Amino acid sequence: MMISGYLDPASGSAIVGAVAAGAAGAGVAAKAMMAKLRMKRRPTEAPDLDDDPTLLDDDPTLLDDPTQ
Amino acid sequence: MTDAGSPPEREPSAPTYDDGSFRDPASRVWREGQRILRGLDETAAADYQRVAASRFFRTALADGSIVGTREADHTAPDGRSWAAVLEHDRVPVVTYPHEWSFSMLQDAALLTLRLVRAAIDEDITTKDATAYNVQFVGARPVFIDVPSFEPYRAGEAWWGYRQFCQMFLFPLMFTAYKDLPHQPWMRGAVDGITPEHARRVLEGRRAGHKGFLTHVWLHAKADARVGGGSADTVTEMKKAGYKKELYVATIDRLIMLVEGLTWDRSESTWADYSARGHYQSKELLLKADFVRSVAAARPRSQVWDIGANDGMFSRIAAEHSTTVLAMDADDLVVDRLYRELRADGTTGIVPMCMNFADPSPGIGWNGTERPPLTHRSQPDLVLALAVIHHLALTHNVPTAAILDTFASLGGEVVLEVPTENDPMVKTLLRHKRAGTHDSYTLSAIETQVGERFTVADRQALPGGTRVLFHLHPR
Repeated sequence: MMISGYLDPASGSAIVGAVAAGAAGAGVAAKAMMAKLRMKRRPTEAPDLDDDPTLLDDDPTLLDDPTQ
Repeated sequence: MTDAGSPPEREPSAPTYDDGSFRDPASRVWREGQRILRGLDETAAADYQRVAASRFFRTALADGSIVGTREADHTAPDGRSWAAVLEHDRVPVVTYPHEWSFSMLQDAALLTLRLVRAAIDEDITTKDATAYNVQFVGARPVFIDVPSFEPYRAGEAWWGYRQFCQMFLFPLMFTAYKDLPHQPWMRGAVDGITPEHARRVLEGRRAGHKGFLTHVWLHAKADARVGGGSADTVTEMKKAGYKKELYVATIDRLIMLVEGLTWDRSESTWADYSARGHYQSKELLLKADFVRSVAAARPRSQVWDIGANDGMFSRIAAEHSTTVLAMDADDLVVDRLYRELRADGTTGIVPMCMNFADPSPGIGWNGTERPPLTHRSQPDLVLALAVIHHLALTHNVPTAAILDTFASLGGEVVLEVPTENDPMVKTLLRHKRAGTHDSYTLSAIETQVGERFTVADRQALPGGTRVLFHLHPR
């Protein structure tokens, strides 16, 4: 996606700018906000640690670590 | 803007890129003699061709809303081969938002919004919305950042919205809703006021003010919730159904909001000074004649009127000079002067909020991005009419230091010295510790003047407590 301006598109500001457009904009803003929050909760590039049994909790070496 | 008269100009050194021109990598500005030139990279050059052909741009150029701009053939200071070079008319004096009054900032905001609104009808938008994109030629705002305009891409919001809020809307709200001067806030941060800081200042019992809920409160909350910038925002907004109609509605509503902001204060320390009750009418006439005789002696490029108040002497100087900077520390009197000049259509006087005891410093990157006033303007004539006693007695600046500064500006000076017997001096001293300012005497000041200047003329006013000097720096 090409970013047209040299300014970093501030996510919150862009969403609020849509709210400022009125009722129709508020609907768009709400959708964009939800998408943003979903993305924030589920980062696609990072592994989901909870779902991977081989990591952290199931690592026996972690349990033996006296500092844990 | 290109100067109308032919007063002497002080030439700058070899051309270099402007210290404040680096944020947009597609374009840089440099000055060569009196010429203002701007290089554009390939993308910016193509965008300019598209913008220059638009009706809105041609109209704005013709009515002076956008600075005069033409293509030029020139070599950049570093030899870089820009895809295109533009030449802009020169703005006589560069001023900054922390030096503007409320109405000046409001007019600059409305100019920005109206240009953005006109541009979008032809599918053109702006990359940004910084207040530094606007300058004042006299009492008229002019948009100077031509490469800020670029083609609009369907589904994109106005990326200048946040910057507009930080640099225009929030400062205006501070003054309109809280009677807080915006100048110290804008001087304190080159990027303006953040949504969160605006929320903290503006919320409270009167938080129901127009625009607060969306532009301030929600803006601050959204900032905290979804964080900073992300290229994904563009995609998400498009997916959510963002259309050009919403862009237009945002701008239209901002215009209505900014137009509706008012500053109701009517009293300040100096707002009633124009009555000038402390002068006899004959004294005032003699003072005006003295200033006129100096100002008319030869054309001047730039005149500083320090403590200009109602602009009476700025107007006299403006008859014989290209530009007068009418400075005053009182933002209400500057605002009144601006509105009067705007109504008159006077073009040669630029009002400016400036406390000479605490002038604008350099701010931004390296402290040079937005340089101090002395780097932007070199006066050939300074009017320092009845200000020396305020600097010396109110701000405790030694008279020798005040005269050193006046001399360092390099131009002639018209200096009015209220003597130790002047009623205004006695009023100022009434609240001072006895003995602190015993050295404030006409004879001591005259000695200091003689060490720094040649006295071309001296006139005592008939009241017997004020003396005018016309000085040439040694």
